[in-house]
Amino acid sequence: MESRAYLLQALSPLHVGTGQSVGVIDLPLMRMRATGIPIVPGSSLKGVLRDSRKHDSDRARSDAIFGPRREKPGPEGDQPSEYAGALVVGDARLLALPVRGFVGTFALVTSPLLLALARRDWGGRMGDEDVPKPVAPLAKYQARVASLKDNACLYRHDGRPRVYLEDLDLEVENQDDAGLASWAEVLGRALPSEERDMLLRRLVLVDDETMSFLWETATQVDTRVSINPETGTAAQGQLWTEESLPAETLLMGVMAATRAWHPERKLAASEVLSEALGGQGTMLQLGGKATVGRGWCRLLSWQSGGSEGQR
Amino acid sequence: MNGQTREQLRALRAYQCVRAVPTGLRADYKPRVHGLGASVLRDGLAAALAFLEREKKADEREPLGTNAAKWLLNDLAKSLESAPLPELNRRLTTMSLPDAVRELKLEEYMLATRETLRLLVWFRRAVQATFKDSEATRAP
Repeated sequence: MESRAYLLQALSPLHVGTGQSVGVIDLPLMRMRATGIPIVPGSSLKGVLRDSRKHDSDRARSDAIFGPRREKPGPEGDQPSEYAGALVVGDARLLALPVRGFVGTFALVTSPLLLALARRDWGGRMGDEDVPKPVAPLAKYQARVASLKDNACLYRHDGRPRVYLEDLDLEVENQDDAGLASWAEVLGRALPSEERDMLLRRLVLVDDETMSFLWETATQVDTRVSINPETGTAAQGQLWTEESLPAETLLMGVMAATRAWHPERKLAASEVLSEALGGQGTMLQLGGKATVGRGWCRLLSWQSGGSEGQR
Repeated sequence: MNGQTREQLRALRAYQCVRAVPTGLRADYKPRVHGLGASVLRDGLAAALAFLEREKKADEREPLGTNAAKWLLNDLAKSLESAPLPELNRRLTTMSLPDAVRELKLEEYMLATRETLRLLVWFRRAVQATFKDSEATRAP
């Protein structure tokens, strides 16, 4: 099996939800159960990738990659098939959350836990010299940046650097973090060349406690209302709130592939992955609320620097 | 371990408070409960409570039973008093909830935010289950 890590960059607010909830938000985001980290499930991404090939004249090739189509929708359609699809799409997990700040407009905030999970996704896929090392742990309510000189989100109070993220005013360690700089550099390689310095300028590492507070409270919450077609005004009782990951959010996941099992289309695993990932920066619409502009994302991967590996 | 889950305790407090809201106040109380969670997420706990406090100030001298914002602040304070937040609990013995929250250190502030959000889930459920539609749409 061959695998490749991918990066999803939200270009507009991204709502991949769990349906209606009785929580404080009517339509919340999908999250990992144990950690609460927001995710885009692999099934959503796979469906969108498959749909993007619906006009492909070579249907057998598409089926070889994504698997045979179901004859019936729902659980009744879960019948054994002649062959399996070759592509495995893993969930995309939050990697860096854009958080508004008083200085520098916004920071891309990440934490040791999110980077450790990303590193595990990468495990064995990049050459040892290319996988960034784990970052050193942080004290509670502390932050670190790759470069004090280059980071755009810092301000100084009593001579000490600080970041102001939403409500949280955090002290920044007064030295550059070379480990974080190598993360910014390697992650930046997946981005278009003109955006590569964004991570060096905006990446802020906070402790996991602060990060979990931010992924709970710094997502985008929009209130929406239905309009009564008779009156043109807000319909009674038709107000709801929905949660999205803000534009500029970065998520990371892994795609894997075997050789194609289709009897007529023999594809190598690397071909399956390249077809699925498409050209660099493929635009996709993911999640709900597409007609109101939600879910525009760029799918990126590491095309150079040993991003592929076998296991 | 006191033999009950935290969610049970929150639910008990919320239902107790919501059932005691006077009928005439319910139409105004309901949208405030529904909007407060989103407001905490958008603006932060201190700002969301300050918004309720501002509404309360408009007729502060009026009795409690005539002002839904004042009533809700009171309910939240009562519910948070028994939550496991020692710094907030201590302050609530001498000051109002918005004042107490404004004084909290970062760690307690984050805990208070999370506790309030969990509590508001139960307030929403209790309001939906307790208030009749006719009450909720009638002006106070």
